[in-house]
Amino acid sequence: MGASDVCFSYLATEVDYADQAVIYQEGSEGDWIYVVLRGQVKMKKATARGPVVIATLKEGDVFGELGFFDKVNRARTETIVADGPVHLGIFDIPSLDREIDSASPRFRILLRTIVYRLKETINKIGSVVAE
Amino acid sequence: MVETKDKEPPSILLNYKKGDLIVKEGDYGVSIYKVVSGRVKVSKESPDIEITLSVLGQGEVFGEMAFLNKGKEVRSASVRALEDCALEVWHPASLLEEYGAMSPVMKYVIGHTLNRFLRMNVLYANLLAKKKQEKVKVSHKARSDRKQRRKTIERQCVYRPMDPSAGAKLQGRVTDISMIGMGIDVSSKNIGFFSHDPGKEFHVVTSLPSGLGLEMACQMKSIRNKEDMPGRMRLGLEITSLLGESAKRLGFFMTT
Repeated sequence: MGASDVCFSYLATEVDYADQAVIYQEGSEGDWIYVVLRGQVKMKKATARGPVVIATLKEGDVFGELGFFDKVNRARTETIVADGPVHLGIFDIPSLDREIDSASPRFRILLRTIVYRLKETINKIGSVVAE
Repeated sequence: MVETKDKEPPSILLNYKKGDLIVKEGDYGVSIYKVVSGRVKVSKESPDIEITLSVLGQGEVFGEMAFLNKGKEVRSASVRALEDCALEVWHPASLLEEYGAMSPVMKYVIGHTLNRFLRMNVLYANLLAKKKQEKVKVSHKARSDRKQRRKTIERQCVYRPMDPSAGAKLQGRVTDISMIGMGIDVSSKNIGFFSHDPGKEFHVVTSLPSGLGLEMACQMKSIRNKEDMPGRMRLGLEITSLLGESAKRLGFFMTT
């Protein structure tokens, strides 16, 4: 399933960012889920040695979903910065919310576990790289 | 109002005594567990050393990889009861069915999260392995210069786990090769098919620029994301044996 098939029907809005613009900062709260429609963004983690790029996200890649799935701790685990001008889509959060709320308790617990593990791993990668 | 799903399969509740092994690293397993009471220890148990990865308590889940790999991969760590505990056991089938029935956009988003989870685990394991290697003295000084020389090539390859029943055959691009190792460029989606952890043994088939075929047994040494090419990963493999005519062919290729 390509980005364009999913996105045209399910996006709430689309937005442009200029090169080096910060889409969101690590530590800030948010539950918006984004998809890269054109261009690319860098995912950065703050470490003792300064910010470290841990991934580059291109067309079709999704980010911001951890803040959505983790209802308890909405703090962003990374900073997302536009790498060149970028065109992003933002998903319809209320409709995704409704769908996730109607999933079975087990599924939600499983998803929550995976999200926690992912956050932990991202943090551990940050510290190992900073050593 | 939304209706909550109440058709979950009945849960199994199992009791374990302190010290009991619940999940064995290296064994096949499909169960996903939730701790109802007590605590468990998650650890990597290699022959010489045991590394505790985490301690889990009430409400926490383990064994979740069985959902991601549909039980086709062996367990990546062992789990032992730290004290007497009660665990709720789930089968991934109904969870996978539920996931399959979700909207395309939800599956797209969750699919990305799951893939990121797998890739981050690989990246982390590789970083740890590198750190460990830096602390261990290299004792393999006997390799000759000729053997260590590497050549850049761009050849398609097909690889699979050494055990043919264990997984799909996947494609990759060999980017460089020497008598003792090679680098292969693959799609990150490949990690979802079978484990690419350091130490895993693969059967690799490729060819030289001349067209002559090469067949070898290799061992995963390292894996990393390609910063300049998201969606691609670079595998570093050690050649453990060259099969059939491959030794002669590769040897000749490396000297010319």
